[in-house]
Amino acid sequence: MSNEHPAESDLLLYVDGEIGAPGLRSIRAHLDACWTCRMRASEMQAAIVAYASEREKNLVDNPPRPWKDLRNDFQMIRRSAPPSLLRRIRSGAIFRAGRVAVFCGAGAALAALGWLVLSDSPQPIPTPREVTTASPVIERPAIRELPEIRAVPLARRGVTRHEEVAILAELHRLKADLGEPVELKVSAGGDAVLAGAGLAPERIQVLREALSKFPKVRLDFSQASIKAPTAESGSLIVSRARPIAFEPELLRFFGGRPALQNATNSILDASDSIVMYAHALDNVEQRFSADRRAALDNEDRETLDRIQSAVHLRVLMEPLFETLKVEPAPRAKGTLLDASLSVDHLLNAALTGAHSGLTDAELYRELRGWCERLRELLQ
Amino acid sequence: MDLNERVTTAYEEMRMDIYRYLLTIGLPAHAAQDITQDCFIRLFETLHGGASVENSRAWLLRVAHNLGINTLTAKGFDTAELDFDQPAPAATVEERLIEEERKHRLRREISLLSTQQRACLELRAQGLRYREIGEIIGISTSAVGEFLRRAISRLRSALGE
Repeated sequence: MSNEHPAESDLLLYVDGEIGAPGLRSIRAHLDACWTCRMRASEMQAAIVAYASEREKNLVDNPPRPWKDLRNDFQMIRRSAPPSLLRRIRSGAIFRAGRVAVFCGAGAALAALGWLVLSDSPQPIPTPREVTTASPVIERPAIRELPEIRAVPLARRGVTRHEEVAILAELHRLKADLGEPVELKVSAGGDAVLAGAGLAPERIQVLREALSKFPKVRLDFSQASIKAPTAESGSLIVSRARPIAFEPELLRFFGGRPALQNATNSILDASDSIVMYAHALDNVEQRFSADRRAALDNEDRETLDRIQSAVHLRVLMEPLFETLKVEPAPRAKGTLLDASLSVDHLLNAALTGAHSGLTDAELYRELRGWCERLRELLQ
Repeated sequence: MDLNERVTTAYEEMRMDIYRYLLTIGLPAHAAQDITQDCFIRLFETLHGGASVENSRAWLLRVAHNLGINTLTAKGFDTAELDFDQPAPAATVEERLIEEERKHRLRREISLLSTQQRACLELRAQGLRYREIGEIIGISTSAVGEFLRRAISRLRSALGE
């Protein structure tokens, strides 16, 4: 069996049937041999089942009014806009109406007309491939009603690599890559899309203004108005499975249970941010793999290096480690993503009592080891 | 089956799922109901216009999500809290008390999840895959995984493992 236990996120992907074939084989092999991870997976499964069961039982009340009969609305839509040509073709109505000959005749006439027009045109002769895609004459009459059929393919005006790096640098300058739930993607059309979830409106405004100088960036903050949970709104760890490690010491250190709960939330939020940040960096690395990186000029490469290194991790748990006199575990190895996920998993175990399979002392030693690895990678 | 019947059937089958999702992201019941109905009118309009919709459930949820967010923004509703915080009922038998207490902790933890975590859980419970959930709420697949991981980790803790 592989000695490394799968990260919680990979285990969830496995339990949820979302993992790809290579990962599936390796996790399955690990679970066959590892009771601890089988138990973790089974607890995860139990949580999913409990949620699903609760959701089933906790049926939503019927809405305040009876559901409206929409058939009148449909009728009005039908009256105000007759079905499109495409729809009529799909439904076969146009053929049932016996207008095939008229349609074909019109098509042939327009084809002939189109041929005459094109043959007089000074444009260069299209290549055979262009002829095939463009279908210049036969399709022309239908273009207005069939918007998805393009007679002439549009030139692709995508974001360049240089612009992509510049946008990433701007996001970095705004610290929008530091754990904020935003992600830069390139759409099928080549435009850059900055997608985000749960940002405050003021923050979105800042991003919008800063990115307005990049015309090829589209912002998609569809969850903008949803308020991020705050300690006041109750996003607290309120219940836990078992007494947490070093509970009396932690209560003394933080000065009581409410303060411990607040600290727990702050630490786990910070951990969330680091995980999100590690994902963002992982995406940057994947986006600029060796060959793409090689195609950049020196200035862009330097910018990328700055994005990937100039991060300062806040001191995380350090005073607590000192108080508890925790010796770090031997130097952990792993990527930034591994380290952030391990810290997150261990913090959950340490502060909320989630299962880790370690004794309290081992748990804190591992945690300190991974925290140091994280700091090393981020500094 | 003509278009009218198809959309009417979809309306009868899926309206409660759409409505429930809108409640999950914080819409009050009356607004959630209006938006749900509006989604199906838009579906009819879109299909009537000749466009094809491959996965009508995902399409409806995406439209519902966007309309829901626009409504929340325009009307300045506070994100509605789900009312799971009911007192644990008294029990006579110890085992039942433990079970009730466990359920109470679970319900309370669900109510304390962030809106994004609740939205991801609700959509996953409706059978959508991570990619589809990401498309509906406009986040990456990996972010969906993170929200779900965090949510499930909290529920695990609440369940007492």
